[in-house]
Amino acid sequence: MNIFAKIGVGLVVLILFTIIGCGSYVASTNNTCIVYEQRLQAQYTKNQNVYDSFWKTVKEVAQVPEKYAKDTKSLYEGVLKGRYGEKGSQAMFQFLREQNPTLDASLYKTIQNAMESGRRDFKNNQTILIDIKQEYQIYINSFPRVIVARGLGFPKIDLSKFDIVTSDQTEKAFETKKVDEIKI
Amino acid sequence: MEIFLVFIIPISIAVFSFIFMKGISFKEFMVHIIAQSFLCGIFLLILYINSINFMEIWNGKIVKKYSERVSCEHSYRCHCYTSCSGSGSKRSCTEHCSTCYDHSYDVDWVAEDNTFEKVRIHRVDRQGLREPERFSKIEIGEATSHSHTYRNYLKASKTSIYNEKYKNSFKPEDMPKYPNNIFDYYKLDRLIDSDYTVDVKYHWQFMQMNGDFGKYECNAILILTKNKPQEYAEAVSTFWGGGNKNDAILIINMNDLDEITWVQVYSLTENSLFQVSLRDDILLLKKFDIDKILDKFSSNIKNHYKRMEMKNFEYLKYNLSPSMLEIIILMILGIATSIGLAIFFNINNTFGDE
Repeated sequence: MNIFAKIGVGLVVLILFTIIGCGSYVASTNNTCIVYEQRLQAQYTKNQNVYDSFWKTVKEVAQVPEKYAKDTKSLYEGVLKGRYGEKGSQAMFQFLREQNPTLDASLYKTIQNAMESGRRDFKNNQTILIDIKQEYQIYINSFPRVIVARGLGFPKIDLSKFDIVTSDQTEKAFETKKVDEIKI
Repeated sequence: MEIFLVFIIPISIAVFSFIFMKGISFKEFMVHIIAQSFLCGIFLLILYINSINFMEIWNGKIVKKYSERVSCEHSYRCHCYTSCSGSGSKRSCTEHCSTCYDHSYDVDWVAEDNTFEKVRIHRVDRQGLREPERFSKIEIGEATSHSHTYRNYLKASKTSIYNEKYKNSFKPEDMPKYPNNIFDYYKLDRLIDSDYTVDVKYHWQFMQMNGDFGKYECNAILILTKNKPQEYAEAVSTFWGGGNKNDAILIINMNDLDEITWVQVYSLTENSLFQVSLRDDILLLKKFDIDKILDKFSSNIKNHYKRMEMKNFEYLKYNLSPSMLEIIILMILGIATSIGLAIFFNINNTFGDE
């Protein structure tokens, strides 16, 4: 084989190798972006589910009659969003006692635990949502993947829709850039 | 992209050596390309597996113990003879031997736990006919611990918000070592008590309790401290990289009057009620009482602990990439093997087609 034939073969191999490499890169970028977007949506739905299920747990633990179920949900959402401030759990307990006067005071700890663990579970799931979103943004914005990802039209979902649920207090603090003193 | 570099430089070396070295045929060149791609792929795979694999502790209980006959391990060369061929300077002789064994069989002394882990007790005689004393001491129901490899995307990730390190005033030498030092075949002490607050019997009791937690896929660790600020708990968690995925870490601090001043629970669990309930139960004790603490720890694991699956964090694997140092090492390895193969194919006429 003469040198020109060898150069030709060498070039063909290099070009083939580059085409296979680039093709795999594009395919893997496309598939990974799809996985991220699906995972983000699934986590968002899971968060809604976690948000929804805990007021039901509190209702069950406190044995609230069915006719007050809606009020319980609304109040629980208020506690989650910090509408009743630091004394949120107490406001909830007072409400539950009004609806169910036979409520044993010993149940207070159980209700408080259910509420705190509900808030923690919700926070944990929100952290996962933030992390998925952050990882996806790192993935599609890192060079040179950004060129491929944008070329393929990613992100194909509106990422701003996947923000976490924050409390009224937090939103107010970020708007005003001021945090009220915590009263003990 | 960095991964592409790991491949392209050694492949380019193969192409250049094919063009400029006269001793490399087309077949050898193709073999060079395929072998080089395969080698680079293997290097990357080893690096990837190494970066995501960590060790966790699995707990169980001995469910059976027995002796079993196995093939003899004590072999030696026997029935040797020499055969020669050729004549004069081309005469060569080769020795042929059979493999013989000291015994027709050996005996292994085995204890098996409910995680299907087998513990083989060292023999006290060559063949293993005599029952080892250690084997006789094994009791059915005894707790066992074993290291087990698993994938941890949280620890492997360099970008996840879970990997944010909290700055604290503690030095690494102030931190307790993560308990993973298995001794006496299957024993592991996970009660960290640097101030010697409790009797040694509780270390054994806690070890035995962990055997029960195996079915909940939980590895319980208890740290007792005195007069430490609450920041210490966060420092330990950070120092241990958040612990392993099946760890339930309970840290209790007390003052000189043995009053519990703070409690912290770390665990990657689906159900936060575990952390909340355990913390409250311990705080309610007010005074340090190790019996009650172990009891509360156990009941909360049994009632509320639910291990979180690592697949929840699988999304982190897409951003895992080797560090610059690892890439440089891989590139050097790739370049070295590519040059080596080029020289080999240039010197040898491997396929006899030149």
